[in-house]
Amino acid sequence: MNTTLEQYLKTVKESLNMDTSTEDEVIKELEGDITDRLEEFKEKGTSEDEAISSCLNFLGPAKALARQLYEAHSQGSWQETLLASIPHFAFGLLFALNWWHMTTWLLVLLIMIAGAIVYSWWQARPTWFFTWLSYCLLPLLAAGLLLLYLPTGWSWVALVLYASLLCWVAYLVNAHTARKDWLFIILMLLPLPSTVGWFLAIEPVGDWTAHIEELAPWIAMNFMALGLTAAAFMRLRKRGLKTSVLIISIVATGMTSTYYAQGKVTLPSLLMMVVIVLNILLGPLILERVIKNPSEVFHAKDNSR
Amino acid sequence: MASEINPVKTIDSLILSLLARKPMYGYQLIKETEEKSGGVFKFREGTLYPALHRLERAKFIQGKWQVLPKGQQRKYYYITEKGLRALGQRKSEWLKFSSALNAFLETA
Repeated sequence: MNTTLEQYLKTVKESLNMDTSTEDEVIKELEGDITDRLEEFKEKGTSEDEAISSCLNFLGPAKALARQLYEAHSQGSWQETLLASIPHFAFGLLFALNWWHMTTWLLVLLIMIAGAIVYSWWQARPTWFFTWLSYCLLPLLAAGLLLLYLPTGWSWVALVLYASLLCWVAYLVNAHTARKDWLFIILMLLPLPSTVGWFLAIEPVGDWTAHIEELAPWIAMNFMALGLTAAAFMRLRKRGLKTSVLIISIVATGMTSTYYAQGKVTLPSLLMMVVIVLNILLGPLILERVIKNPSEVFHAKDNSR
Repeated sequence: MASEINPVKTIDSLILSLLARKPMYGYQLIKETEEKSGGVFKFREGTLYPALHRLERAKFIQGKWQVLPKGQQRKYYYITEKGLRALGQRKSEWLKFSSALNAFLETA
């Protein structure tokens, strides 16, 4: 195929933000139809340049086509929307009904999370998988926060071990998430700032159960809001709107939890933490793109026509 | 119920009506549309493929890869039962709309 067309299809593929198999299928479909169109032009005696120009005119700018294709695929069904919201709503209910101290319900929730992760992994990781994945990473987050309460002298050893574990998890998450769409990383990180905020607000020393009981309605509302955010994310088509909903939700839920943390953590520090985690998770992908194609990362432009 | 012309729905109806006759792939759809309408209808740039994918996601059509005699692979789209029902509904909406419009035009 001609270089201009190859470049066009490459730009479409890079702007699709879908999973690799869907991207490959879209490109294969476009490639097949372009070939037919070119052959017909050739039979009519049209020059190659004219034929290519006509093909590109029909398809329109590469990035615009990719955006429209993304919007055709980006809206989840109502079933997928429900599946994406369930973990947030389940955690919300746990606090709303004051069941957070009941081992049975905690166990049910853990089994649900494990089951959903295994099932969705087997189903090639659909979008709703990422909201469940965030709760799968909560024990890791809790372990990190508990490092704050270690006796002096142990914290450095624990920190090194913890950092290695974090890097390994970051690598795994990056390999399966960022490659699909970096927006899923933000979806996955959605409960992170508020969870840290609530954890510090509760402070797991002294009579911490009384603290939880006191804050339970607010924690419940917080998780319900995250459930609604996940639902909106699934139903919205436009990428810009999806991103805005996630950012607004992270800031709003972070603000609520920091308000109740009463000076133990501030909103800017929580947001800074999100940015750092995002960098850790996206770092390898950005690095890979820079090494593979430096000019496209730094001078991304639509060279579609 | 009031009717309105929705460009997205019009493209979708066009695709569904063509696929109700026989399964086709993207480029075939473009040619058929132009031929059947005598050049009146032409897909605007970049509208066909997003529409096909939107209809496929909505389960109105189903894409299947097929190998052509020369060995090339093309994605053929088939209309589904759900797509046929949607087409029937759109047909009746359109007939209602056009007869209402005709009533105005005839008296003009």
